[in-house]
Amino acid sequence: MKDDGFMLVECIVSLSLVLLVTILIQGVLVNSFSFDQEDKIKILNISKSSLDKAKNEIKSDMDYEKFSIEVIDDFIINKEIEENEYYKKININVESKNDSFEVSSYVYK
Amino acid sequence: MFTNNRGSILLFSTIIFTVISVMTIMIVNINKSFDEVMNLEYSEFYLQEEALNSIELSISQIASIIDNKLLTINSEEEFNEYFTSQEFIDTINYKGDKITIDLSRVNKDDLEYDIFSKYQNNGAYKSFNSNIKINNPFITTGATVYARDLLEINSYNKN
Repeated sequence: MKDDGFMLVECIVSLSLVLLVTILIQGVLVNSFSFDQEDKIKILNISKSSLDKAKNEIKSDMDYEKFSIEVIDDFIINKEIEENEYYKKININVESKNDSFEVSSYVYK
Repeated sequence: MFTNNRGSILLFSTIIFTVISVMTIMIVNINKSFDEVMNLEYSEFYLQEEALNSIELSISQIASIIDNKLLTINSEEEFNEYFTSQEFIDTINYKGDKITIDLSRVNKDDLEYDIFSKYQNNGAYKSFNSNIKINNPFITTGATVYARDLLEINSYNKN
């Protein structure tokens, strides 16, 4: 029965194992890809828009909060504005469960 | 039946394995390239903000100089003399490893300047141009004025 060293049962088991392992790897990669990239893109976009909003508020002489914490979806946005006689420094920190991004910008005012 | 098909089952399992391996490798590569694209996006945003920050801080520095000079200067000629001098331009100009700020006069008649800022990091760079005009307070008004009333800032041009 085992002359050629490759029986039907062995074949099915090895094929199933190979399939299972590769599908698992593929699943993990696909999930990490979509999760990581989506998270990063959202963090960057939220940082950009928060910074633009803060700059616009300062330049247009609108009322603004020096400190604020905002939550959009699962992202926590910390905004802090430091005031100097000639400029304002805007610090934006966006955090998610797995990632965070911090950016600072100066505005003459 | 199975005895006859052993060779084809082995071949089939090898083909499946190869196909799935190729798919996995492709996904890894796509993941890597997207990571690189995201890093470029982050890098571009960072470079842009740093270049803009240089311009904003230069304008703040000019405003600070104007306010300081207004305390000591008492005439239109003195004001013009200082703000057309090389000393003023050298105070603003800066050349570092990453940041370059270059202030230059646009024409001889007005106190109008172009500010060029460039931020470079790891071979990549972003640069911006801004145009500002300083109004001479001794021409425009006799009342007490501050730098923010005298500075006209035009919008940035991305290079």
